[in-house]
Amino acid sequence: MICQELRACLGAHLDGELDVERSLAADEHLAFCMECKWAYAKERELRTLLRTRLPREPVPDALRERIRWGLRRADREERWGAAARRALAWSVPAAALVLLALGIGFWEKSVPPPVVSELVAKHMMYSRLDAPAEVVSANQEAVSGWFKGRVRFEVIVPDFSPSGIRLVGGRLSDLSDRPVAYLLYEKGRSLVSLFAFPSQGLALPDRGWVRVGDGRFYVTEVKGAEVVLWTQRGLAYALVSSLDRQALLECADTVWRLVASSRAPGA
Amino acid sequence: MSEFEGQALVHLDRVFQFAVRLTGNRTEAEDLVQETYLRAFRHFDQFDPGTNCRAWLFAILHNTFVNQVKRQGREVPGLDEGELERLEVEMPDGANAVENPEEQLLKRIVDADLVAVLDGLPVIFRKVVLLADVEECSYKEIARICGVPIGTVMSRLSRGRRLIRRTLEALTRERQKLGSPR
Repeated sequence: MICQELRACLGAHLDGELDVERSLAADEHLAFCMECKWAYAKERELRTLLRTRLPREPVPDALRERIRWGLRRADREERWGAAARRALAWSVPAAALVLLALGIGFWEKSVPPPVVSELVAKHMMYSRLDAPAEVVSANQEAVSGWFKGRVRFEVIVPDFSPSGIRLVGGRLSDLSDRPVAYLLYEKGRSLVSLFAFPSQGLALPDRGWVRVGDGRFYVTEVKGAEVVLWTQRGLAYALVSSLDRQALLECADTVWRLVASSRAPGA
Repeated sequence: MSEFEGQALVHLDRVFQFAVRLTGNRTEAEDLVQETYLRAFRHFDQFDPGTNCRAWLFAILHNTFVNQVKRQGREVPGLDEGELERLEVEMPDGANAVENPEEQLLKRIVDADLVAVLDGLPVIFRKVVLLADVEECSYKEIARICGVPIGTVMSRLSRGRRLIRRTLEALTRERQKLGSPR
């Protein structure tokens, strides 16, 4: 083996991908050629560098949770699909199947996705702070303008004042490293949180949706906080509050109509 | 479900590392990994238990990534040969300087440099280097993951490594010239 040949397969030799014959020939050459030996050492050095010095990124707990939740859901769907197929194969009358489906739907409470507990945790945290807002203003345009350049989507700031809910301000927040525009409202002493964030990759359950006007909203309750969550024009919106569900759904309807009528798409 | 968890979920850490370095973006990596696991779960019957599950997951991830990039109409940073030649010419060649390798890169490189250089490498080279050098996959596995012949894996790997080394060397020379303590 001459230098040129060796250089062409230096990497493969290092990776143990040469056949025995060529590998032996390469070793033989490396034993007496100083320059190739250096080249080989450099190749190995780079690999060591990549293998040992590349920082490891810790897996976020939220991701782990999202995956487990997604798998549980897929598993349920699969089993339900299999059960339905089996039932059909045993020619159970369709009506009985429908009853069974309704029954399961009724008994099995839908599991809120992990994002819901994160949202509720944020809401709780902000409600404990004395001054949670980064921009304090009751002016919708001022608050919306503050987000320009801070998040990469247009932040729509709705007016809930007809329901006696007043705008306090806004701040940047995050969810599993996603940037979130966070709007704070108040009714009496209760905080009403409105979160807006890119909906990409967000998985929401099939059950637990209600219809109000033209909008469809996922509603759930965690630790005494009502949550209304939906996606619209590339963004996810979430309202969290200790107010009752009806009041929150009215707010959701307001946001829905505002977003639907806005010119620019959200994302 | 538990069999899938036992076989596939144990690789989450490595799969995530690969996704972060492949996309260069943590949020994107998280979505990619979640999608990968969901797809893997749905097609778990296609997994051959005698083979490397991690490589199988990498293949799904790679496939998902390529499809996403295509769907979003983003530019796939693949280089044509001409562009590659230019890239290699532009980069000063330190390969001719005979130095003792011991005194070279290892001691002078900062971890952040390595990340920056790797992230800056065109993705067609980056993925094979990551799979071979970081994830320790065989050429055969890499060929299957990326859907290219083994010969292509070998040439991309050697070019990728050469580009990384030259960029790192240029970086350390720059530092020395500036005389900055690193």
